Amino acid sequence: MSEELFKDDKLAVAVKAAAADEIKRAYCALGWVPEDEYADGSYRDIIHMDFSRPHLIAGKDRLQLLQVRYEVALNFIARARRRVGARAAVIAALLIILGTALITFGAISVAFAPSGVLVGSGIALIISGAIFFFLAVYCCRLLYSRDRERYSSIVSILQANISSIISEAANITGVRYED
Amino acid sequence: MKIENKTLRRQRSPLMFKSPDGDVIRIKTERKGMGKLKAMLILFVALLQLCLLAALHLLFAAAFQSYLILSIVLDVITCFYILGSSKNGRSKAVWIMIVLILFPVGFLIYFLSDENIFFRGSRKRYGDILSASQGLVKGCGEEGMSEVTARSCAYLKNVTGYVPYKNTAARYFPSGAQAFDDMLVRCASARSFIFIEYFIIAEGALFTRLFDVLEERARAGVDVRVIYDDMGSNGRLSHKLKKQVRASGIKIYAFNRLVPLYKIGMNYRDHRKITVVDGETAYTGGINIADEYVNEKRMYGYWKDNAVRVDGDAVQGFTLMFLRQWEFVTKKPFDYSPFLQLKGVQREKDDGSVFLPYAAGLEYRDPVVRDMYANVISHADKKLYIMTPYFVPDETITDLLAGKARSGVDVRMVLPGIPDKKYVYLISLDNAYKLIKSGVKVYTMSDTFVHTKSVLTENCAVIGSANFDLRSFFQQYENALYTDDKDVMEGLARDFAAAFPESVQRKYIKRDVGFFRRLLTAVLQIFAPMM
Repeated sequence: MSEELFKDDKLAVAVKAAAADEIKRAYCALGWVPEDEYADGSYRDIIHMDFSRPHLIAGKDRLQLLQVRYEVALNFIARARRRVGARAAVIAALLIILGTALITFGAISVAFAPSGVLVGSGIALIISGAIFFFLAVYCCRLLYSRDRERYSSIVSILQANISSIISEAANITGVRYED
Repeated sequence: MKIENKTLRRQRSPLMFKSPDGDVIRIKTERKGMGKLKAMLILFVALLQLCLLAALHLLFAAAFQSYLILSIVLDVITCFYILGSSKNGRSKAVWIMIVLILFPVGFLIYFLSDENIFFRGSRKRYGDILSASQGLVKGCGEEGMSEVTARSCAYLKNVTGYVPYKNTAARYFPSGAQAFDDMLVRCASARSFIFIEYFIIAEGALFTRLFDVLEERARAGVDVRVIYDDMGSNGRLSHKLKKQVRASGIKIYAFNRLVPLYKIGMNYRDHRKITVVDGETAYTGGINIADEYVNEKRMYGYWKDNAVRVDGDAVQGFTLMFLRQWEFVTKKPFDYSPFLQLKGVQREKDDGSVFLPYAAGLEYRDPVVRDMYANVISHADKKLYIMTPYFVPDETITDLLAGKARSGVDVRMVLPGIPDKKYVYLISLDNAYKLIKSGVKVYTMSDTFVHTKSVLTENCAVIGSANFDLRSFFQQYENALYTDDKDVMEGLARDFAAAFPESVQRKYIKRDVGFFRRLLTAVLQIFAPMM
């Protein structure tokens, strides 16, 4: 009686083409059966996938929680990879802008200076501007290496989490995750 | 990442752009913006009316200086009126602040928002419904009840007229999916009536499944009645679908229709969650009829909810709640007796457990939800577990919780790891952090939006629609089930035990909370009574 009431659950996702196979295998471990796959009409790196799963499935609540955690972890990894150079790039850009402004102002002071004092100040400004350039390079490298280290440790933790999520899901559904 | 309609398939081309969305995976959950747009439009028009009124008032005050003096005198009188009113301390403080800051129009805004003036008609009508339906159900006696249960029963009987029951079996569901699966099967076997009352009823996979069953039962002659809240379901239940539902023989009514007017009544919503089948089975909990409640739609991570099913005498309490609300929305008096005191269902195992279904709303002068929680908390001596999506209570509750934790009771609270309303979440965490200092253990469930509203102590469990916030305490129509049934308490205890390992225990470290966050929270706390 109850099985007649419940049609299969449906899931539709849009994924990055590069990760499509991995995601498909993970969803299979979560009990979903692939039904359809097609390209996006607007973006070349997007693939649409449709899945179905029996509505009454053992451990459904846990599977739903694991699925959310898998999706959150996967998206966070992508975000973390994008963030690696972001902070360094922003700081470097600010310092370079500041350096350029100082050099320009110094050059103008030297070129149009009516007295020796202003010429000296102009040269000082140019030197400060150059220092800012070096500072930009230093900060950029420092921040990049720190962020890379930080995010790579986060990514490795999340990847380990994903592995444990998938293996727990596979234990519930009995579907083996194939690499 | 653009979500494309499957029917409009196109080929991929290398000349196409890459998606600007950085996410690797996106679940296609369609969100309809029209509901929010409609609500914002209504709010805008209501605010416009208020501004217009204030502008007229100011013009009048500018034209006649004596009128300005009169306004100030009225503001001062209003402050005294507020101080002497039955509002809670926090609301009084906020209102006095508003009246004084917005002088000379403060008194005008206050009196336009006073439910004692502008909600009097509805309140009186509800009062009449309550008195006409008193004594229709007979509960059990107080023999063999524990002290906390007896006190809760006495309080509810005196204030609301709801009575306790025995001879009832119950089943706890730790998720919306499990509860709705069971409910669907039960509804499919309904013989005489199905009553459904929910804050949110939204189109989607769950609604379709339920509607198929209800439609089939309605055609078979079953009396199917549905109440939904017009704000909760705003933009999520189309006019076309409502027509289709009515055409199938299901009676459906909206509670408190949204209108673009500055009307204080708009603030009072039906937040109840009740299903009654044949007067034999009832369901209640935190669940609504929408896909996110069964995790078939993703909104804020995993959606954690719960519900309880009762079979037996206690169902009468839920039936009575629904019938009163039905009479209120339809404005047509009718005879309740065909739906109440149906032939007794003798439970195989009646261990003397007490079931006390109760409702709260503006028809009662007392804040029933707050008082029931306070009674349960004050009687906890060993453990006190709370799961709630929002934690914005008044001082009565926070002081009780702090006092319990300080006196050695194991007080734990589970809040969402992912919020639905960020501004309320900030206040909730702020309030929870204040309790951490007293020894309350505060958890946030990772990757999860906790929508469960439950309390568990060594004496009893409370499961229902009422949050730990001021709206649920003072402004909304809520319902809950108080019980000392072992099955329910064990089910809820297992649910808490499963939630703790999935949660992060929060520690309050002052330096981790930045200045701007503290400032924002302080400003938000002013408006907490309105959230």
